[in-house]
Amino acid sequence: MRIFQISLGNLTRRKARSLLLLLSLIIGVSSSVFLYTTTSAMEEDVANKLDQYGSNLLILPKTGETLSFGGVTVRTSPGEELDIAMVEQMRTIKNNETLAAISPKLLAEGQIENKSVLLVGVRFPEELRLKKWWNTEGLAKREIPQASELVVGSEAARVLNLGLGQEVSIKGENFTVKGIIQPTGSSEDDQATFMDLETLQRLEQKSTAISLIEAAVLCYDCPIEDVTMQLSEKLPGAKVTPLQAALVSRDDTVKRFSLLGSVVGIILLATSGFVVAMSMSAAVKERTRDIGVLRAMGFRKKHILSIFLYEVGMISFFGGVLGYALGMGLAMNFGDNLAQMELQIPFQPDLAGYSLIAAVGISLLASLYPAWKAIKLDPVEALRYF
Amino acid sequence: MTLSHIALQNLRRRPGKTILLFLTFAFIVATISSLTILAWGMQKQLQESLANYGANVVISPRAEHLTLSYGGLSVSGVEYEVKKLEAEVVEKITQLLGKEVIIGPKVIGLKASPRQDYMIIGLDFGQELKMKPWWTIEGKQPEDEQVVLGFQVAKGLQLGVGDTLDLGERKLPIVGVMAETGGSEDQGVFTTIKTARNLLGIVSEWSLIELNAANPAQVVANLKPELPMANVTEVTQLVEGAKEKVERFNSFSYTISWTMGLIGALVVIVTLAGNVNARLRELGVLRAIGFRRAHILTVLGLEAALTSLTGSFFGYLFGMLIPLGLGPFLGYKDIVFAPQPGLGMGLVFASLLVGLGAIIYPGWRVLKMDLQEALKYS
Repeated sequence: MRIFQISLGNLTRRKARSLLLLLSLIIGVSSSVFLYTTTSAMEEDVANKLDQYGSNLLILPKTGETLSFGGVTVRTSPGEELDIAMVEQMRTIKNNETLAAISPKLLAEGQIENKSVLLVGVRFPEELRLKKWWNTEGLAKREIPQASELVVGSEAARVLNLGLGQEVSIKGENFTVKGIIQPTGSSEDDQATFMDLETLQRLEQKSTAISLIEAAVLCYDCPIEDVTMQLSEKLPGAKVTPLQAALVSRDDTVKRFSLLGSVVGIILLATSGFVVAMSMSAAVKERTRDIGVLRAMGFRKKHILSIFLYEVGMISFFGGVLGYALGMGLAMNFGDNLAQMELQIPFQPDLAGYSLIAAVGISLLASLYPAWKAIKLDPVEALRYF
Repeated sequence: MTLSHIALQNLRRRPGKTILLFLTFAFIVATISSLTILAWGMQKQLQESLANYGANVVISPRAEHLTLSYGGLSVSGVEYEVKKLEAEVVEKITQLLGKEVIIGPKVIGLKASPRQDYMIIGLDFGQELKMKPWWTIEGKQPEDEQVVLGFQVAKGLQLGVGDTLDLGERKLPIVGVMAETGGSEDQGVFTTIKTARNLLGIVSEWSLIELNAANPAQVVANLKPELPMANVTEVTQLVEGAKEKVERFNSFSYTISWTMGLIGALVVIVTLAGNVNARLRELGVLRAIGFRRAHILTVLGLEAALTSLTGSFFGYLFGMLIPLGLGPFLGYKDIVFAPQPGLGMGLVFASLLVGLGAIIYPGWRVLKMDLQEALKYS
């Protein structure tokens, strides 16, 4: 009978004990894998969601800047115009997957009730996705205004005396006030009148013109500087500027998420390592008597050690593999439900290597020491062990 | 000898196993409690830093015409007379709100000069930088009769720190240049309020007041009736954004805590089940000498209750100490030892439940077992 067969026999004879050991290994490995993959996916998901909260990149014509600060305009100058084709152009950059939302806008002056108003032509689906903080009276959640409907800022509604459902005429066409944006504290949102982009382009007889583009860039994997540079190359006629106010705050928040994520990772690794080590060393200690018997029969120390090496190696190998499969499978199938996010957790084969190394390494370290101690005992002593 | 004696003696007779069980409970409870405390601390910190970020209340003069500019572009060349806030508004706000609120009053106007026109912004840099951490000045903050240029202005004029800005009758030294922010700051020329008043001829009024308040909704509600001639508004992008971030962090840490709790319960159940499993023979002996099923379950239950209660209690104590040691490495300086009795009681109670729950299956197996079988078990 070879040493390996003894090991195998040991494992099959104590089925319950082996199963429990396997189970604690599986729990340790799978929970580490599950939490690690879920938290890192959540981190990315949160970063992406935050990036889509308002725009973090502005594309403006190169000249014609108005001097205004916090809504106080001190000098105006007519800006140049951009072309709607730029939106398609933007999608051709190398990191185009990072462009989460692109909201082109046309600005025009209009007259409502004999007062000058700023008409902002927008694509409502994109605009409403960016302006998540808009609380619009009259507009239900996820409702998109029609081409003949207007959304009016709070100040504009106050100055022009507009109410919900009111009909107004702009440049000879009739529009209905669909929604009034509650005060946002930003002069841009409060003072403007928003309408459909294509409609405004038609009214202004500028079928392809836009004034500026607001964009939300996901910069979890790709720094915003790269995206800015790539966009500047594609859009030579425009000025591309990242908005620091949005980016600094986002970075601050995401940094805290990853900090918590790594703390969890470290603590969990320590915990599962500890649990695995405890159950392994307890299982070996229990067999001090067996070791005495083997020694009394004339087995050499290195033989006994290799019996344990095989046993622990086999159990921890299978535990590692099964634990990884379970953890990865759970994360891929249920991780997004648990975390309430839309992101799919990708299959990460490289984690299998790490889980195996950790499982086998920790188990061997934890079991060989008590085994060695038992071997060094006098066989008579070992036989008395209970 | 009562049943509780037997349970206690069982624990004492196998110190190795008892310690293992105790440590398992302690370790898991320590992990969960320290993680929860750390997450709470981080969430509070995040909330504070977000509350201090940006001007979340804006007070602007109420005008009967609408601004025709958006995102730094404007559609009309028509310039209206810019309205102002009365001089005493700032004192009024300071009296009403006290010291915790950062108040950033500003004087803004156009200064014509032979070369080009400049937007002069007079403000108190000390207050302003507290609420706008994304402003970085290369050089230093301006004192009276000194200016800091916005990024685009400096780039357009090709001027830097050490040069002078020609404003017609006055030439002011440039002491700093602001890094690009992408916002309207890039177009401004910044100086102190006093110098801005001199340059623009605005004697005592204000163009705009930005505030940073810990509770913006409250501040708006307090100020609105006092300032009927001004628009007092919360900046909803910031306020709602901060709420969203904190909420996300909250649900992130909740998810982690729950998963950890679940895993912990699993580990405990497996360890305890293994422990009882190893004692089937001994329990068979107890049955054989006439112990009733209820007695055996009581013995097992008492053992589980004892280890889980003591283990989780010490784990909780230890778990409160971990953040103290770990905090400095995570960038906290002001972590204080705070007993969280609610958390502690919850964890100890949950451990007790899990511990008792864990013996259900092996206990059931013992009861079902044939006595002969049990004694044969090795």
